[in-house]
Amino acid sequence: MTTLTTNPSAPLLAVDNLVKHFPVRGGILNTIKGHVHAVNGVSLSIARGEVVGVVGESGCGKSTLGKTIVRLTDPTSGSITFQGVDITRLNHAAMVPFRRRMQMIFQDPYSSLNPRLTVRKLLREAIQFHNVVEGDDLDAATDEYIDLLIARVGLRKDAKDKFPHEFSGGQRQRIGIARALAVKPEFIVADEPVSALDVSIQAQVLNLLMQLKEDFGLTILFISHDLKVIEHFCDRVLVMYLGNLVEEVSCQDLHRRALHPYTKALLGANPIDDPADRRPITVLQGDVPSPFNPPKGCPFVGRCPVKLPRCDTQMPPLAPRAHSADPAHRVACWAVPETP
Amino acid sequence: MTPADSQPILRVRGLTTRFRTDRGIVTAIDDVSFDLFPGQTLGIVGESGCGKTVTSKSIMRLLPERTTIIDPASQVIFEGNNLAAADDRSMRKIRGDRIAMIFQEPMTSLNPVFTVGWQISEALKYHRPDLNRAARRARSIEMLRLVEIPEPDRRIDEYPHQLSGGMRQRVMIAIALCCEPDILIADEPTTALDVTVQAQILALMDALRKKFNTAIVIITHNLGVVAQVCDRVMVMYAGRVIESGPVLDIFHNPRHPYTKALLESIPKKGRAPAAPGVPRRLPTIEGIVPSLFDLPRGCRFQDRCRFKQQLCIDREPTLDPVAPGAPVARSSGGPALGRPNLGLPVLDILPAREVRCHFPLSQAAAP
Repeated sequence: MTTLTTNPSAPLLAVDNLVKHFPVRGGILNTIKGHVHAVNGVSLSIARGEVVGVVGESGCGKSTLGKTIVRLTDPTSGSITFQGVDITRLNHAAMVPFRRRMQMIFQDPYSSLNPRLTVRKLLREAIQFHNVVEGDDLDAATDEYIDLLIARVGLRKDAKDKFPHEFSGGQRQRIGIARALAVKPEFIVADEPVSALDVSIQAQVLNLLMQLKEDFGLTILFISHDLKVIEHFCDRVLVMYLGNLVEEVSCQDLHRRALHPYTKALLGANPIDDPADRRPITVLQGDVPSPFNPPKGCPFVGRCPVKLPRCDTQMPPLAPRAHSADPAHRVACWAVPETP
Repeated sequence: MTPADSQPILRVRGLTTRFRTDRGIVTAIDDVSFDLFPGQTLGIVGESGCGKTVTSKSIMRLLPERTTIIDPASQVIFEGNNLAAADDRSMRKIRGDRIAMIFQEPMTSLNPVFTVGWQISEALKYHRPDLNRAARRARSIEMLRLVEIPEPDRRIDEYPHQLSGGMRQRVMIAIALCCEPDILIADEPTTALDVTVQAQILALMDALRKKFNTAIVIITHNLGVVAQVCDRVMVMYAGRVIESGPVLDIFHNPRHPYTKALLESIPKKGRAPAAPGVPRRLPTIEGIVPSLFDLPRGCRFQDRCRFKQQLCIDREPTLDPVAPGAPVARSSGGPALGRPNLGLPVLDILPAREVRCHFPLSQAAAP
């Protein structure tokens, strides 16, 4: 196993200039016609115990970012450093110990659970592959551990021998969470874990995740399109647009200090849950451009209400801003003055 | 345009729909009643399986005839006719002309092999036989312009796959509104869309409602959407209407424990997270919705209710009128609401505020 640099102040995860392009093929000869720029130079770091949200609209690359970080797809360029170890180019065997430490929870708990396996088999697979439990009677020890897990995520004991289709959406998501937790990970990428659930069930699952986060000291990258859920759940939010991070801000400051016009538009577009506070909905014109042929300059240029001439040709860097007290608050916008 | 003194355009009384299934007959919606006024937006909210879509499809008679039983006592009164008992021929005349519907997923509700212009013209061809081909095309372009699609004279010859999700939903709205219907039923119209596009579609629907004085029924699980666009709200749970009333009253003075819990369980915008060290928790509704095949004898919400008593287990509560809540500040815009004094003794007048609970929550103090 790789020796780890034990620097407690180093971030648990650091991502530097991560790029993921998917080739698009076409024509009779099936040649590469171009690339979908799913993730376009994203840099971020997450400290141990932090919950970081990634928000953005469909197609902005937030899921690809999550999958690339845990190496479910390979990055085109850039680097991913987990606890000081560069895991970007590790081969399959060398990745195994890291796979145990980084887990993923998916949006659709139905398609991400094998319908032909009972909950017991689903969980056992991961537990035994990664040698999570030890003992003379491995099967008995595993079973005992599975009971513990199932109770932990709030399912009844008899859930163990049922198939995924026998559960409701919320319960299935609990199984997905149990499977991710089974290998005692340190870092979890939760990709829209509550988006497919009803409101009352959403709250149950969010509370469960928060409880587990506290109990196991998990670090979570929480991907969602719902800014309200992110604001409630996360410490910090990364706003993504067309493969680029456009703003990074603490959730506490989100409403008062958001600076990027896209973040403001997202905040304005979210309906307010109070009929007495009815105001003209801030309408952002147009649609997200195609990531197949993104704009040359700022990705948001086509819909931006405060566009400057240089926005057409130059990509603004993600950097701290003058009138923001928080140095961790970073914005990528030419219209927002930079720190001198 | 205030509905205060106008008559309801649609009156639904005791709408009950059952399905024949392999496991026997199941009652999907049970005794649903409401009035809809011109220019008014009614929101039907509830979680999946509560019957909100079945309600709209029963009104439109879009459910498969072989497996659906609409109770003969159900009344859906539109212009003096009972749609619940109408034949196919008269329903076809009403659908798309007087009552139109838009659906959640605009890709699957548009026909992929025809241009959008063809699909708008189709409704006109059937309902406006006096228009010739050129007039239909002109009207279709006008509709696309009305729903704010850029370059409508070019877009009209495009196919659904060439449009984005928001554009497709605009086309659906154009089709629905091309005959200027009295009622637009929108079943989760923005659920499949991104928030910025959702805001565009909601603003568009609201502008068109004002322009044509269309009555709108919005079916949604998104309480934020309801808060922003609806005048009245009807909350459904396990096939039953459990509470209804003006939107301000429902949000500020929920009387049913379910409505209150539902409102509390959404993360609130603008509420700063708790200080470090303080656990962040959302109030939840424990448990899950009961199966329609296995409903409890008493109140359908009893297993998840914090205030359950013996009476709730023994007997299902009826939908009873309650006094409207303490006066609350009126929002700017939107028609003023009130119960009309109908001169016609046709149907009973529904109370402005109803709740189905043995022990409704007490009224909150005026904010």
